Amino acid sequence: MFTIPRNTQNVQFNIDMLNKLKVPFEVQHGTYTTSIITEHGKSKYFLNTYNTRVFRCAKMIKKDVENSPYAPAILDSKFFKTNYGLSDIKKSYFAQKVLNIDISSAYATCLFNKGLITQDTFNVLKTIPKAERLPCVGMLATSHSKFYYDDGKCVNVDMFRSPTANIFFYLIDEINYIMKNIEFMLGKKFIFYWVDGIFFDANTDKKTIQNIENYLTDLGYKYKYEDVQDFKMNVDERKLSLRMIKNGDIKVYTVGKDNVGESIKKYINDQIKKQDQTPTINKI
Amino acid sequence: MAKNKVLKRIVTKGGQVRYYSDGKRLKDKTGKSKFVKENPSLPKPEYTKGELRSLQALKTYNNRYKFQGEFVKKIYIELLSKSGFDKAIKKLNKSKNRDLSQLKDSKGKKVFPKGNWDEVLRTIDAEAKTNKAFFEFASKKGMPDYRGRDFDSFKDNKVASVIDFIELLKSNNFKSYDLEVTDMQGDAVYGRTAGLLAVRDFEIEVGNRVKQIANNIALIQFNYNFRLDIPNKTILLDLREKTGVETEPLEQQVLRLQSDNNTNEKDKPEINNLFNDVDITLMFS
Repeated sequence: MFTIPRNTQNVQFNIDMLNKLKVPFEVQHGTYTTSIITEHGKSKYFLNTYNTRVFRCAKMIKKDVENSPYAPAILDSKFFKTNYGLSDIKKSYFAQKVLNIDISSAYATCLFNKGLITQDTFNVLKTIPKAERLPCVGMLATSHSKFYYDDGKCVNVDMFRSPTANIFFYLIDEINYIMKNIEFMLGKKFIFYWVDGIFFDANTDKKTIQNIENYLTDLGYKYKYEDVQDFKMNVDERKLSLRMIKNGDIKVYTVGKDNVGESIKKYINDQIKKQDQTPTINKI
Repeated sequence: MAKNKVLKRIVTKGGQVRYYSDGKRLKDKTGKSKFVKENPSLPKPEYTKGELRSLQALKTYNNRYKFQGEFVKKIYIELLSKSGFDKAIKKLNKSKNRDLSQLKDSKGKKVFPKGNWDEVLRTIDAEAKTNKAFFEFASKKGMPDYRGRDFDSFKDNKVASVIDFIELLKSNNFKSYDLEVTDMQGDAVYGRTAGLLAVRDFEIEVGNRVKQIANNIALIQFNYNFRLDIPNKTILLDLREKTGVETEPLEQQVLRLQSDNNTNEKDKPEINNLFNDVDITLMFS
């Protein structure tokens, strides 16, 4: 197997060459890896490479999940997979300071609390740097598309999702329920949440904050407060963008609005307009 | 046990009403509120104008549905009624304070024992996942998580990768739709396979351009804001960079996103204003 940096030239060169030879082959495409598979072997093109500990830990998680008695029911269920929530702020919003509670190792703790991984795996997961922890858990939901080539052209396209993907989606939903509950507790003081971090008004009363802290502790989640300044929320017709300085770093979040709904609305409006403009002819 | 403080209401010679509790004078607003709570059914003339307003506010509060004292939208009551709690809701309607956290089932057991709002959401969601009519009702009523979602696959209409596109094209709602993609070079590509190839190549190209600038890229996510040509049953997607909008090249924006010392945040460009129908989320390690 070859490992090559992924760029358009590298991938396209190989595809063009195999197409010229008119041999059958497959292009397996994921977010970070593209592989070209022929009967003679596989060449892998990487956008990102991870430390081997990520793959080791991902394997441990997968093995635990497959052995967990709680997994089968989750694998058969449906999930929303929504990991953010926004207040009803319609106009742009700015605050010099907002409060932010982040759940520590949210997905990892959820896996452990719900009996999906063992204490050993949880301990290993906790030692892994934050940036690598999400890929470890995210590998439960590995997915890729497959482009089948034959006789010099692409003849079919298909997709693959890991059988354990629902476990990852379950984690997203579970953390989302926690966030929604905190959103409810905050009422009008709530601003937004993103994955495992919730942002709210700096003037929130102490009792509410205490209730939120107790709620998280009771569920077995650790949390920390982050320093957030220069918080700015921009709203336009297509998206909502947030920009802030979190622990001294600039953070940008963008949430696109549902564009398909707009297409349907426009179509219905056009149909109504057309009806209005078409004269009614009564046939005798 | 705490002693119940007696509220005294005194009308002065000048006709002013004052409220006292435990020998201390209360603020007017607090006094009025306490007085009407303790005396909700006096003949109307016995209340002052302010007390009548307070009484009305109290009635409104008691008549509205709440959860742990916080108002909740009526849609949640409708959905809970349809989730098998119709009788329990009717019973709750007769109670003095319509607080959903006190909802009890036919055996007298609390429906939401922990008193957490997510218990309500979980109850509704569980029903929506198994009952198509209920799911459609919730969607029609505008429940945000249900909008645009397919009941069988439970997938929403958001497309974040070429894989999602394949799934979308295979779904019941879109299996008769074609795909028309304008690629990065501005060439129109027609057909499902050709369109998907163009999306795949776009992901490789953008990923590579970001990686060349930011070796520490940890997450790259594409959000395709595709459009629908409903009469022609076609999904439209434009992958070209925007024209007529003053934007910096992708590489320049990534650089600035990563290591900007510029404090003038307002002038900072957005990576998501670069392509016509695609937003990009980036995270660096």
